[in-house]
Amino acid sequence: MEFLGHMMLGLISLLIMYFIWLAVFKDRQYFGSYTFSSMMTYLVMVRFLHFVKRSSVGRRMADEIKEGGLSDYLLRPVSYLRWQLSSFLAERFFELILRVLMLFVFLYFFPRTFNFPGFSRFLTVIVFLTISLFLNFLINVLIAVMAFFVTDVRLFHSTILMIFDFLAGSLLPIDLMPDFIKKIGLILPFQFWIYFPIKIYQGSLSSDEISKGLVLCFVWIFILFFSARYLWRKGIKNYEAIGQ
Amino acid sequence: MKRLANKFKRYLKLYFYLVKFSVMNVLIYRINSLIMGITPVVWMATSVSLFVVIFGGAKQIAGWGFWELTFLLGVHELIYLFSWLTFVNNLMGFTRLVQLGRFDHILLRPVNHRFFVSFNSIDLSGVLGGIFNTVCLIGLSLIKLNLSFSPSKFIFFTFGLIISYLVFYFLFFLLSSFCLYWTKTEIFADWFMEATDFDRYPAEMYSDWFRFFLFTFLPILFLAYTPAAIFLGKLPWYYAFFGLLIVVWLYIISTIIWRKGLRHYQSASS
Repeated sequence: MEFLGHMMLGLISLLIMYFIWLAVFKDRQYFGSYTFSSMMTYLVMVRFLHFVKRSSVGRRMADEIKEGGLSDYLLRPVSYLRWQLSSFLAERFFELILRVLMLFVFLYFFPRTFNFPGFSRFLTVIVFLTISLFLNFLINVLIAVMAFFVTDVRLFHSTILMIFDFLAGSLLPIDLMPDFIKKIGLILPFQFWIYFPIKIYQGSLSSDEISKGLVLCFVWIFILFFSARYLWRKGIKNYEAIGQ
Repeated sequence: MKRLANKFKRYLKLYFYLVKFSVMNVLIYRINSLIMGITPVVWMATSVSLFVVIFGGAKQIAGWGFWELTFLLGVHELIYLFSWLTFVNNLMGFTRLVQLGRFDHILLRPVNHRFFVSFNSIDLSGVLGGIFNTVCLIGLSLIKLNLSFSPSKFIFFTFGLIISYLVFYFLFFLLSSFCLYWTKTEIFADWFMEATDFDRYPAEMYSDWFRFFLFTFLPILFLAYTPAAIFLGKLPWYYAFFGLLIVVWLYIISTIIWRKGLRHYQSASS
């Protein structure tokens, strides 16, 4: 029931975006480099990727740090972060399989509005999504470790995620954004959550651009991994296990 | 008449005390409240950026220009601000109370239960951001639109705003009352909140049947669209009175569902 409920929520926002873009494309064929069909494909894919990437791991970890629940894990003979990573990946892969099935149902019913790029390109997207899951996890860890240093991370959490989501291209494709935001968006790692996989899916990127993107993605994983590790170690020293 | 006036005075006094407690609560966590105020501003900035991009390539959407849309967004923000401030959080809390079987405590109080579950506190989190958004969006769009003012326009606009607040309240109350019948009903509120986004954009962009649906069966277009469109001269003034009919209809339906729900309520938590 809850699953269906969340699916309905996604459909409402998709319907709103459908009407907006239908009105925009009423007297034109192109908006930037997008046709109505490619824009709808982008928006459907945004919903699909939104479900794949959304996770409560950051909030959960922050709560455990804040409430002192972390102490239980620190006493166990297992790395807390690795344990969280395994749980995150299991959760996300299950969601990925579920959403891929839903996507095929969507493709079957709306073949004209929603374009399928062929299996090889689709597989490339899945591989890229798997890599970007690590990036997603590291960003969640970075948000969570703030709980070691500030009183209530929940206050920042939704605001920060809203900004990250915007820079990931969830509202608009990054290539349509004003130049200044576009430049920033194409350097930051959030594009790999939504914009970049969709552009691969739509076949808008050359193999050279995909390779460059892959390198940038690994650079970010590297930077975020060491930042998270440094802050985690520093935070653990700060941690008083009192809870609030 | 005197009895009614006394009752009104009593509830006004009670509401004043409830508001006082809410303000005291917020003042304990001043910094938290300030930070919470940032979230609506960020959210609004992303919405406006969508308009900026769209209007970078198009002059109008469904006959509405950029500043007209900004005005609509501002009115939507104003309705949201007052609704969150006064009842939304309370009614969400009411659903949780019923689930946990704690609604009994309210039923034992010598106060109108409907009033108490709806208005037992005011939610000041995010209020600063809401005010900032409303003032900026409405203020800027009014300056840019350079509209002529007339007393009748102002009266219909104010009347439309009151109607929209009442439509929002009765719809949300009606949906919240379903918790007296079924266990998991939070998703109804989530759906409703998401669906109110239909009201942030011009109704002219929807298909005819869908617009009819949003004016009648799920009368969301009476929230911000109707007062804003009347003010901008895009909708005849009598639409505000259609809104009044919807309010009366929603009041009757919500009262029936509430009363039947109270009889259905078993006081067992889930």
